[in-house]
Amino acid sequence: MWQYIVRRVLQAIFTLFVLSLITFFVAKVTPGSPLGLDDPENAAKITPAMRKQLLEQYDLDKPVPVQYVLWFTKFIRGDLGLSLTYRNEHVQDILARTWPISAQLGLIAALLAISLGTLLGIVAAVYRNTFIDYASMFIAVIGVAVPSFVLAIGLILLFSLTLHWFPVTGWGTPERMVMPILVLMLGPLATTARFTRASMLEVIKQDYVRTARAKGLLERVVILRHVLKNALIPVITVAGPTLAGMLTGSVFVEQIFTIPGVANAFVGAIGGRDYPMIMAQTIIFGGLVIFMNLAVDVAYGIIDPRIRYS
Amino acid sequence: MLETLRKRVRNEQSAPDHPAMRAPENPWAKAFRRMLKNRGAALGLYVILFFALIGALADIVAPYDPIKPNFTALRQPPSAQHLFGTDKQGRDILSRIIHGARISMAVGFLSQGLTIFIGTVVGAIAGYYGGKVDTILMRITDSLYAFPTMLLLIIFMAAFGRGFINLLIAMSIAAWVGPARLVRSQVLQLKSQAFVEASHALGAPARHIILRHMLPNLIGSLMIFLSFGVPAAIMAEAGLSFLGIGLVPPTPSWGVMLNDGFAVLRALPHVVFFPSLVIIITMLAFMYLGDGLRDAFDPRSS
Repeated sequence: MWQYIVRRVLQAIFTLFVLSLITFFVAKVTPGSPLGLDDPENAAKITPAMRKQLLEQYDLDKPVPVQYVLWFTKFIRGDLGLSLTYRNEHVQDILARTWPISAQLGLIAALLAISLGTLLGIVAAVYRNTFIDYASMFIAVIGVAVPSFVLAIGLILLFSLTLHWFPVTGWGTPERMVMPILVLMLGPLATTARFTRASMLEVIKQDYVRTARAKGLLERVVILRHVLKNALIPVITVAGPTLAGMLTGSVFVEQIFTIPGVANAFVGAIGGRDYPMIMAQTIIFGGLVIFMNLAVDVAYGIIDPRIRYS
Repeated sequence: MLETLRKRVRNEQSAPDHPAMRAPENPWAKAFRRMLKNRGAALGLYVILFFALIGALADIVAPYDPIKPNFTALRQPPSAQHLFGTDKQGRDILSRIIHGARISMAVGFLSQGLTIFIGTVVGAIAGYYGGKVDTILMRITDSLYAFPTMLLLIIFMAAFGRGFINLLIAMSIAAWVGPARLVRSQVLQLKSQAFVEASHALGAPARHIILRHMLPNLIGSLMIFLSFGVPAAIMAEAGLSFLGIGLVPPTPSWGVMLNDGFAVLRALPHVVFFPSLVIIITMLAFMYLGDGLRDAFDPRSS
């Protein structure tokens, strides 16, 4: 298994390298210049000498492939460069400021989504074709069909503007966290619930479950020991990407509730052609997704001994 | 001899009381009929057809101009003249929603058509030829796959600028990876099947094998992909336009309407309410249709 993990990690590094190449060249060939140099408003204020100095300072005067090599050698040494939108601030510092916020939001929402979603799916499957099943699946359907930005607007209208329970924007205090977490978790909760229910129903049909029932085991024991253990294995496959997706912060949630997290910083960086920021974030987002997928595959093998690595 | 045999076969086929002798039904028609038996899927299909129809006929159906401000009817709540009310520029919400249906359907189907086209070409080439081509193409897809689609879309929209065509291009560049991986894995499977090997042994060129033998086998999974891709694209358009990086106002798109309405959420909640409602109905319709299609095309899964 270690051989497998090492091979996957090497593959992941190569994948990230290709991703960084793609992003770098996309960021470079796009029109618009960083530092606002091409803004007609600034053009009058920036003398040719200043322009030259600025371009030199950020290596922008060199050919694109050379710029990539320069970026890459710095990156290897752990230097992510200076941000172009937040002047004179290191990308590392910006990430250190924004990541904890997004991670907090993402982790709480992900944990709630996965645990409540699984619970909902289990309950729906155990009491299938009853009112409980229909109610759970109604929630799941809503979660899949209502886009997060529509839900956010609805919650703001109800809880902030009408009932005045929660403030619309910001982060940090519990009452500011309720709505963003709700918005971020509903979609994944619904997916997890639907997936868990389908997986449970699949397992309940199996012969070994019938055997367990035929032995005269209590229904509770059958469900907990025989069904649940096997049904939850596939749920891991959705849990991994869910977590990664939420940790990277939903762009919509951070934008609507003006939360100072990574996704907001990312959108700001793209607007300002801040390629050191774009590059750093791309590598982190990509790495996170790849890591989660690898973690899922490894966890899968540990939990389900039928799976062999090749 | 042959002629009499044919005649006999024809006669027996035309006998109405021999169901077994009827020509086998087209598998697509069969899957489609199976799907329509599913009430949710059928309803979903009708809703989508309805939106497509009013979108196509928007110029005739919409009661008012969707773009021109009307200063005699500013900020009106729903009424008999304006069923869904008007926005702060006096534009009729219902008319904008009807024109928005055209844009949503166009964005959804065109972007996914393009996505599937690119993905199928890349996936088929990678899977069929294998070797170096495959390795290179798959490394690129792996890299793009490891990146959240929404963020990729934002990068491209910032790069290309806002607008309808740019949005289509950005969406297909961001999403072709999904069908490419799907098609590649299926082509790999099909490659080792006897009928493909037989065709290859008979000297059929690669293009013939891919188009005539493999593509028909891919249509089922591509249809399912489409049924999940189109609503995702519609949702992405609405989301990007809501954030102000999708379509350019005053385009009557549901996302642009949300953006307009969010600014006056407290005073005129109906401006966001109706576009939100239509988006949700569209998503529900596609979800039920998609589930039905999956069950119909893949009987093993149900």
